[in-house]
Amino acid sequence: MIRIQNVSKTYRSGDLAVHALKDISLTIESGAFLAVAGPSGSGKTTLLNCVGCIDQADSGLISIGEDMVSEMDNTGRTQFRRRNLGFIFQSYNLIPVLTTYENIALALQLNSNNTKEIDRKTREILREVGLQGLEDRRPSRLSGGQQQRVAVARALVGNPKLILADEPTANLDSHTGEAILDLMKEMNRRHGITFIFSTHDKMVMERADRLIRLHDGEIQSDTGGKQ
Amino acid sequence: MKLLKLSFLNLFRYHKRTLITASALAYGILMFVFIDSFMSGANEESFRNYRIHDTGDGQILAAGWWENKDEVSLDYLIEDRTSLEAKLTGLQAYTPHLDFPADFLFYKADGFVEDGDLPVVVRAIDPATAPLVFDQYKHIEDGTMVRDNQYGILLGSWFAGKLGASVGAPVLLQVKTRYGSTDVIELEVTGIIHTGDSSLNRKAVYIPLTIADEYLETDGAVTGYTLLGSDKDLAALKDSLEQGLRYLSFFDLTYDFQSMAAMSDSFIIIIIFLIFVIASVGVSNTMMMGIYERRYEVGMMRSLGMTNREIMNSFILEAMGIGLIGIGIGFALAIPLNVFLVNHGIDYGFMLKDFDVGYRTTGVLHGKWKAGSFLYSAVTGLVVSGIMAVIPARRILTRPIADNLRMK
Ligand SMILES: Nc1ncnc2c1ncn2[C@@H]1O[C@H](COP(=O)(O)OP(=O)(O)OP(=O)(O)O)[C@@H](O)[C@H]1O
Ligand SMILES: [Mg+2]
Repeated sequence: MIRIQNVSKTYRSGDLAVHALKDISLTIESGAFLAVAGPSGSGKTTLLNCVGCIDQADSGLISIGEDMVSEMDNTGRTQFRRRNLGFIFQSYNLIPVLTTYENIALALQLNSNNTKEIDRKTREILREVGLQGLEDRRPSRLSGGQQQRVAVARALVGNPKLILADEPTANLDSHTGEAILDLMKEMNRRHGITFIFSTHDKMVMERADRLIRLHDGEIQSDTGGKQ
Repeated sequence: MKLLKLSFLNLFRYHKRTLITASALAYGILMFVFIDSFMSGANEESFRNYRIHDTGDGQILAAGWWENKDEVSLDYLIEDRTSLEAKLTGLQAYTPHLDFPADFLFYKADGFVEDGDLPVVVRAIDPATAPLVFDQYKHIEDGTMVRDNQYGILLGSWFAGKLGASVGAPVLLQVKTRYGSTDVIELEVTGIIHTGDSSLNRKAVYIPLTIADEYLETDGAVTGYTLLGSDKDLAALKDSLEQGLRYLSFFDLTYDFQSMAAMSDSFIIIIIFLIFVIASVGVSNTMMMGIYERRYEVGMMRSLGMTNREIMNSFILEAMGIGLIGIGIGFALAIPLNVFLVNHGIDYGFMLKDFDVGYRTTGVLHGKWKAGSFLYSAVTGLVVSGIMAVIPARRILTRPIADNLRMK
């Protein structure tokens, strides 16, 4: 369960203040497959960053499971991300000098030195997301869809509680985007991992179990009550 | 481990940039090793030349002469040679000399390049004992050594060459006697000395002491003695000297050269420092570009939970990798260069012929092996490179992660 209570975030640059999030409150069940939609500048990324412990809200409380992450300091949040969260980025964001295998294993190496275990988990996830045979390729020799698959695998491999994905399909054509979303959905079902992702894409919104629409930093609609 | 691997891989990600920067560093190291080797060689050889051609292990001079050495005056002389020489008998070797100023007159008709006169400082020597103390008399490349009572003169090779003097040519020395009257000594060039000492080749004018004594009316008095002997003997001698005599050690006699060498050493340190500054600006620039280009990637790594410390370390390792490549290239070039410098040397005598740079070296200058300069340049290169990653990395890591991720 993720609780977001009265969270606000304001960016200031000089005299200008942008209220990116305005008093947002929201409860997300474990195992949710939640889409956050809204026009550009509505606060989607900011919300995901605050929940993902990448950014800090100015006020309000955020808890993930038992952990009150909004009260953690920098080190605490770094540790928390390392252990409990996975990230998928719009532009894949793999390390270009590492192979598919190494990019995925890197996420595990941050937490463990057990090479056997790392190898086992990496191979398992490679199979699960359908990347067998591409283990030794560098990102530059993978298609966009394949790269995003690697990114999904990297987010999944540490078996996190929550995966945050900021516009994971925005750089992909609709067909590939659908495939990635199906993969995410499948992992959500199979492992019970909570997914929160932002999107502009109708197709993606339709596949979500729950859809929240933001507008100017406020929740405009939420299908969560209806289910 | 994973960091080391990542840093290593990133190093070759921008291989062109890495190579260019490493080359700048390599150049710095090469210059450092080269200059250091060259200067140590020049210093050592200069000191050696001073000792074998000029100062011996020490000198006894008439009191007052050293303080006014630029005058080359006959006012400061050792009169009582017998009692002094009695004290010197225990030494390995000693020889007297008399230094005096003169006008060197020469004529075209005698084979010189033109008619002319030149102010010189003449050293009158004892042909019997001078070769026991000094080395230059073994290097009479043309002609022979002067003899006692012979109206002969020895000239340094470059001095002779410039004037067109050859063995057998007549020369006039116009001198002032001890009492101030003018006299002219007619001499004949008996030999031309060519040594590894630029100063000597350029300036040496030697005549027999007996001739000088006669014309300068010095009555057996001399400027001083040059000595060879153990430190212990020389120290004992120093303590036993009477009033009117002054002992100067090799160290005292080369004082001017030492300060000059120290000055050019510090000048060189500045140059080397500048070279390293330039090289490190290169490293810093390369790292700056590399790190800025990767800020989105840095944002990702931070999101995954890599700590700032880990990321910083990986950048430092990467920069040190550039340093290491630079050191590798630098050494790969510097070692063969130094082998050449040490074994073969650089012939730059032509440069020293016409002007005095203060170093008393041969035309061929040899380098020296100095482990210190390799070690020092390597450590400096490595440390400086590592430090150069810190500033750009910190600039990115102090930004919020969201900022790193915001733009691509
Ligand atoms: N670091 C920042 N400094 C200033 N303003 C910011 C900063 N980050 C975000 N903003 C502003 O906050 C508002 C919300 O931004 P956010 O990135 O969350 O929107 P978004 O819904 O993700 O938009 P998009 O669909 O374009 O990605 C925007 O007006 C944006 O300009
Ligand atoms: Mg956004």
